[in-house]
Amino acid sequence: MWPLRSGPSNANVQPTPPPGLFQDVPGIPSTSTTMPQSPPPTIPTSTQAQSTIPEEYTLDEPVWKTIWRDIVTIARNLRSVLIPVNWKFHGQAQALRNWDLWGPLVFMLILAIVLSIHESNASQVFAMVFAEVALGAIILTINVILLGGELVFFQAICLLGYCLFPLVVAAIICASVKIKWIRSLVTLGCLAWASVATIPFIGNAVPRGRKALAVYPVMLMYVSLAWLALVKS
Amino acid sequence: MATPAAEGALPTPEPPAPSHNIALFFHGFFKVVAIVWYWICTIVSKSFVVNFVVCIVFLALDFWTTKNITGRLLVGLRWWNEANDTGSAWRFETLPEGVRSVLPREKRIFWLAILLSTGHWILAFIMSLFGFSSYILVAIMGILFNGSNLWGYFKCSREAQADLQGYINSTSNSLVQGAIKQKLSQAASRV
Repeated sequence: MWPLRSGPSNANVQPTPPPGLFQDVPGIPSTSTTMPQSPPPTIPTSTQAQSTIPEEYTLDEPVWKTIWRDIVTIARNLRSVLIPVNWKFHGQAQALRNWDLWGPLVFMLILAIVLSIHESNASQVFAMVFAEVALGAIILTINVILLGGELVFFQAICLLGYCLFPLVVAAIICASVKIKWIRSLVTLGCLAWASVATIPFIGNAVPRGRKALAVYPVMLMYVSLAWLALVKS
Repeated sequence: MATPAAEGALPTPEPPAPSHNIALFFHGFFKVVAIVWYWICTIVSKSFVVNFVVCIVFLALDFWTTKNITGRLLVGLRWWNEANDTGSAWRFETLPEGVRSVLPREKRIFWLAILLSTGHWILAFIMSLFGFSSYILVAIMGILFNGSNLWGYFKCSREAQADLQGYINSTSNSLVQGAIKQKLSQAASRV
C-alpha cells in the first residue's frame, strides 16, 4: 500500500517508478558504524548522529498527502491489473507490490448493488453476491496456495478484486440495456477481459499440471457473476 | 541516536507533545456512528441494501482513519504490509527519538476505543449468529476491520519496544566498536 520504500527490503526496482512522492528511496545512506543494521521488517529509521527524522518519515505528514497516496495506489493498481501491458506473472506481481483492498471493496459493493437493484428479493441477491465475492476470493486464494502456488495472500485477493471491474461494467450495461444480443456481447467481452487479466497470474503461480485446477474455480466464479448480470430483469 | 552526553551537562530537552483533539474526535466518531447505525438501521430504513452499504461505508471510513491518521497522530505508530519477492512483509513505523512524544491520555483513549469497538463487533457477530440475520455479514466485516487495526497496532507497538531495546543495546556496542576502529586506523596510519 505504501510506495515509499526503505533500504533493506527494496531489492527490486519497480517497472515504472512514478515521479514525485514515490521515488524509491535508495536505501539508508551509508550505514556507517553508528547505525545498527536492522533486519526487515522493522523500523526504517536512519538515525544519524543529530538528525532524527528518517527519510521515509510519514508519521507527521499532512492528511491530504496520506489520502493522495492511497488514491494514487488505487489508480495504479487498477491500471496495472486491467490494461494489458505487463500481464505475465512476474510483471503483475511486481506491479501489485503495493496491493490495496479498497478497489476490491468498492467494486464488490457496486456489483452487489447493481445486481440487486429493482429485484423483488433485493436483499437476498445483495447478500448473496457480496458473500459470494468475498468468500470466493478468499477460498480461491487459499486453493491456489494449497495447490502449491507461491502467491502472497493479499496480493491475490487484490488481483481477484480488481478483476471484478469488467464484470461491474457488464452489470451496469446489462442493467440499463434491454436488448438481448447487446447484453450477451458485452457480458462475453467483459468476461473475456476479466479472464485474460486473471489467468496468467493464477496459472503461472502454481506448478504445471495444476494450472487447470487453480484456474477453473476462478472462471466459475466469474461466469456465475456474469450470468447474474446477463439474466438481470 | 547518539545523545550528546559527552558535551556539557545540558539535558536533552523534552520533545514537544502536541495534543490532537480533532484526531481524537474522529477516532471515536466513526466507530460510534458505525455501531449506533448498526443497531438502529432496521428501524430507520427498510432497505437492507442501503443499511448494509452505509454500515460498510462507516466501517471502512473508520478503518482508514484509524490506520492512516489517528494512529500516527495519537500514538505515533503506523503499520502496513507489502508484497515483495520473499512473500509478504509487515512494515512498522514508529516515532524516532526526540521528535515528538505521545500524550498518555491520547494513548489510553486510542487503545480503549479500538478494544471496545472490536469487542462490540465480536458481540454483534455472536448475537447475529443466534438471530440468523443476514446482518451477520456486517458484523463479520466489523470484526475484520477493527480486528486488523487492533492486531496491526499491537504488533507495531511490540515491534517498537523490542526494536528500541535492541537498538539501545546495539548502539552502545557499535559506539564502542566505532571508537576502537577509529583508534586502530589512527594507529595504523602512523605506522
